[in-house]
Amino acid sequence: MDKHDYRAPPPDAGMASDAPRTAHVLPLVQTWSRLRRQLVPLIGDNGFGALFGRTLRLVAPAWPWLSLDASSKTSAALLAVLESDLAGADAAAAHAAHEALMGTFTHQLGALIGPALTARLLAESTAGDGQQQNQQEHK
Amino acid sequence: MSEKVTLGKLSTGVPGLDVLLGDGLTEFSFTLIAGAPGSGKTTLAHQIMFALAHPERRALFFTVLGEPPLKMLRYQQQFSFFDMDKVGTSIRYVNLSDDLRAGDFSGVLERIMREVEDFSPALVFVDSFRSVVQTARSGNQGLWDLQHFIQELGSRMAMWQATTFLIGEYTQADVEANPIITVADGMVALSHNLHEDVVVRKIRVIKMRGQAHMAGSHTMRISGDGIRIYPRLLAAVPGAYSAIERDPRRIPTGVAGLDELLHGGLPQGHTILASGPTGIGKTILGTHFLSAGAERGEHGIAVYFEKHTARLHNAALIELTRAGKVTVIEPRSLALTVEELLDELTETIERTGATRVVIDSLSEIGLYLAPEFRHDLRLTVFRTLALLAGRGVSVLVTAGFEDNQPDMRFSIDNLCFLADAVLTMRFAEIEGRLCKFMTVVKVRGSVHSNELRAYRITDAGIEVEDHAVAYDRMLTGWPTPRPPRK
Repeated sequence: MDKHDYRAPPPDAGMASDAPRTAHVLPLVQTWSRLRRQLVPLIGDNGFGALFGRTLRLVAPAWPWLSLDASSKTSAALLAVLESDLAGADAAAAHAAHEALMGTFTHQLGALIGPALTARLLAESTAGDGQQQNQQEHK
Repeated sequence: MSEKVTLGKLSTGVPGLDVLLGDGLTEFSFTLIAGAPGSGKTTLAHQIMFALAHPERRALFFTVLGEPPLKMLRYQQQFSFFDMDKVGTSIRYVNLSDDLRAGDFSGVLERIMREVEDFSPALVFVDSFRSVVQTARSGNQGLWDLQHFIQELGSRMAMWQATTFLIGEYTQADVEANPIITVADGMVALSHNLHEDVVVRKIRVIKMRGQAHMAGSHTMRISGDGIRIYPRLLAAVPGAYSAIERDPRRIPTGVAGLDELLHGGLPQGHTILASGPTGIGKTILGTHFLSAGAERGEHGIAVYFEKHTARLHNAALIELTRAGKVTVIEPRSLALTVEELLDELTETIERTGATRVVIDSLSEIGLYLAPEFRHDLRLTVFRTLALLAGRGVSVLVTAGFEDNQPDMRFSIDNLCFLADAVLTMRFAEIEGRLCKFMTVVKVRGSVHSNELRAYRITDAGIEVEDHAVAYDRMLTGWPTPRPPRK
């Protein structure tokens, strides 16, 4: 992870009673963080922000608790707002909204650069995760 | 043994570019690709990158403030050279716009170095370089900083042994005037200037250190396969000035009387020009030439520049086309470049294995050509015939001109000098009728009849009389009966 990567707050940052509620959020936000790490070098922070912002606008009507905060300027800030939104929802709803966001985001990217190249870029991001996970396992 | 350093050469993968550069691109060189928007700079860079990049020779493509990377990927993947499998593994794209906005040149340079150290590329591309320059002018950074940036980039990339390309939206005049650009080892300028409403793309290698590159502007085209460059160079003719053919194989022309005049047919591989005024039968002769080939199992190509309603297309040709024995090339562009025509001819010859070609007619080609080619029809015909000669195909070309007797001419624009054989077909007024006659003016490397023979066009085709005409002064248009010999 480089210094720009989004880091989820430590589990003990919130109140003890919040812990079960936020546990489901971490893997979801990590997925977005990986995607961001993969795409920002390619399309820039603004490019990622614009694509994510559009995705939110398309998905938000079905999940009104998703914030459409135009003041978030960086991709890191956008993902921080997403984390907070997901943490406020129950696990099932958070997961469904995440799936919808990811599907729409992928679709948006695919409409621009084609499904083949999109799949390639996303697969690469997943492969990178695998490597990192393995490294961690060997520690 | 020479102890001079050997410059490694890279084959660019852009057809024609290696010839222009003087045997490929020098390894570790620092080349500027310059040109106005839309001139094909990014496409050229991508084509070179996809040709050269592989897992052991990786490429980094930096985008600055020019074409947004997503759009670039969207459009570049339309080209056949864009190999999806290389993206990510052999080719990595990096966007520098945030770095440039946030910091100064040193920040950009450090980011480039970080990426280079991380990915270890052998090829580095920076697109669009003009964005970097513009930032310098509008911001607080001085020209010195920019020069320093470019010099640093050039020397660091050379130390890293990376062949580097800067892609910039410069015009040719900018490139030549800007002292900053002298840092570059090579400069390639692309242009697409408007001339009489027509654009012909051009490429020019302005400099290429350590190499004898070809000077001047050369035509290029962009198709679905990317860029193709046409160096001003004729294709070599196999066996030229080395093989002697004393008794060339002759092929039938499809008109028995003409074969007789040619002493057994046209030498195989020759180009025969059939010239004459309108209505003299040049197009019919072309069809006979293709039919004669088809009867012997030869495939033919008909390049037709004459246009008329479909119902007037000759039935014999339609049958040949339907039977798959003849392929018709019918150009429609009115801004045709010679290269486009030659590409289509080459592709069709290779695809069909054709051994006979008919071009009907040279006098109409000019209507289709882009102005710069139209102004030198002779060069266009010369290049076309040179290509066909190199391919060893037998060719019949027609040329029409207004009859202006008694002016004894055999073609327009001195085209008759470009053909191996010339057949002239003319009218003469005899006994109240407009009669046709033909004569063979020349056949290179072969004897032939010098008789003037009358002929008729009937349902059976072109019927040539078996004896010379019985009139004198035929070529004046007003012949007189030849008095019986005493």
